[in-house]
Amino acid sequence: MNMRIGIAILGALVALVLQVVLAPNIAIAQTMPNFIIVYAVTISMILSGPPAYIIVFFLGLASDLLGYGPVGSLSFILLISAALINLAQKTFGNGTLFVSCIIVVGFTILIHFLHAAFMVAMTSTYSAIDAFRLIAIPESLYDCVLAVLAYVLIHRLLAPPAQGPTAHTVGNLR
Amino acid sequence: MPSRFGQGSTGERSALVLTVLLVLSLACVTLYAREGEGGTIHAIQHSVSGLVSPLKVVSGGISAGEESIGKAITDATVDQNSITALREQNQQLRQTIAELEEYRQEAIRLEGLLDVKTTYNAQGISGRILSRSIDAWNRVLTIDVGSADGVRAGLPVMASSGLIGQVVATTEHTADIRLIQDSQSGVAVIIQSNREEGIVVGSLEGLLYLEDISDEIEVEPGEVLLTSGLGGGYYSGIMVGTVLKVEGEAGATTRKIIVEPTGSDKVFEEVFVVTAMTSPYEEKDEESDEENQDDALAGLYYTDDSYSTDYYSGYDGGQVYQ
Repeated sequence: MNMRIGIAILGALVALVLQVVLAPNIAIAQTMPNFIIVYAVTISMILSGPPAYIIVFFLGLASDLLGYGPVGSLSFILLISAALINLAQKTFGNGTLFVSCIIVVGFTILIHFLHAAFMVAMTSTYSAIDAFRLIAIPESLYDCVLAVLAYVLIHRLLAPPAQGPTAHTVGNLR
Repeated sequence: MPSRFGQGSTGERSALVLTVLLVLSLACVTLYAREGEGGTIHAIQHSVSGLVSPLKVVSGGISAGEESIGKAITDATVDQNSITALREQNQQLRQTIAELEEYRQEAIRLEGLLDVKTTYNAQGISGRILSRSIDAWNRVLTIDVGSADGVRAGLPVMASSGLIGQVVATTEHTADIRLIQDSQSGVAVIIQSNREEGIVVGSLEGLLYLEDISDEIEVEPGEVLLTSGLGGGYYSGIMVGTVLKVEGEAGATTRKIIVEPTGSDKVFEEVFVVTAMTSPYEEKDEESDEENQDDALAGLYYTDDSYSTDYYSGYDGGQVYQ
């Protein structure tokens, strides 16, 4: 296991702890941040292939097990998103921070909406309008801000070293 | 650079891992949906909740710290306008207390007349709130008493003001309480004034709605709702809330009745898990047997259909209502 994957796993554990310990205490008008979704989007942007899939799968599973929702639902959505993020990066990614942030924001919103749709479909007690109006939209807005910040931060830690003789200079990593 | 699917063995391995994990996720979801509350995945879900209870204690500590800091800041920044407003509020409260004292004395007189001591006598365990749910979909509290203390799933939970929820899962030293404001909660109630039955349901926005009540029944703001005991989920006679607002007229199918709960989860720190509730009317029966005299009040409750339905619908044959 290389250093990057080790750090990514450590980051996943930190996200999980933050969700249990911090998230309920920083809710704004009942809108709670979801550090698990934020981290899953971020790590899908930075890692690719099996390591990213395995990390997001276990993050989603842990989130489902910690809550009272259908177990496996968030894992499924995060896995689909991780694959689509890979594809989006290859299609639209040009290495600029702006495009990366657009992808991060887009997928953060998409995951929240898919999760809300899943919850409505799986549980008869939630009305679709309320689910989107009261949970998906406010939470995705909250998480978009966190996801962009997390992406910038984690990218600095985990970005793959650039090729060539000047690969390890500070300027290149930035 | 992320690898492309279908490009050599790396791409194939990625696709394989993704497929396997997706199938695993779907299998979990299907199993979860098909199995009951007592199923394996549900059991694992409850166990995981217990495993992270130490983290929830930390979360509760942060929450308490936040409240203290917030209060200190509010106190430090209070201005003259706030003091004036508080004085006016204090005056209003004094008037309210005087009125309430009148009602209390009247109630004592009536109680003496009817020889009623209390509506019910609850027994149970008190617990401190450790944490609140980690997602916005559920309104679940975790408290610091569990199966080792006699708490079990299904027991009602009260705060000093009335019913707040029901135990949904327990570990040895913690229990999860689903609040009545949760959209998956439903409590069978009666309107105190006219004994009409309905169901109080929660919602994602945290409001309570009174549903399943006949369209023809007049419901006014301020009416008190009590648990009816129907359905067996709650003991009867526990205060649930008061009608806050009625949107629409009686007779309209679109009428919405909004209920104000007796307590918000933000304002209490300790709760009471009710393990048994004894009716004073049973005690009265025993006394009556001993004394060999008729009890007018007991007669009232046994002969009136509405009362007997309300108070004995959940009766399990002993001293306990459930």
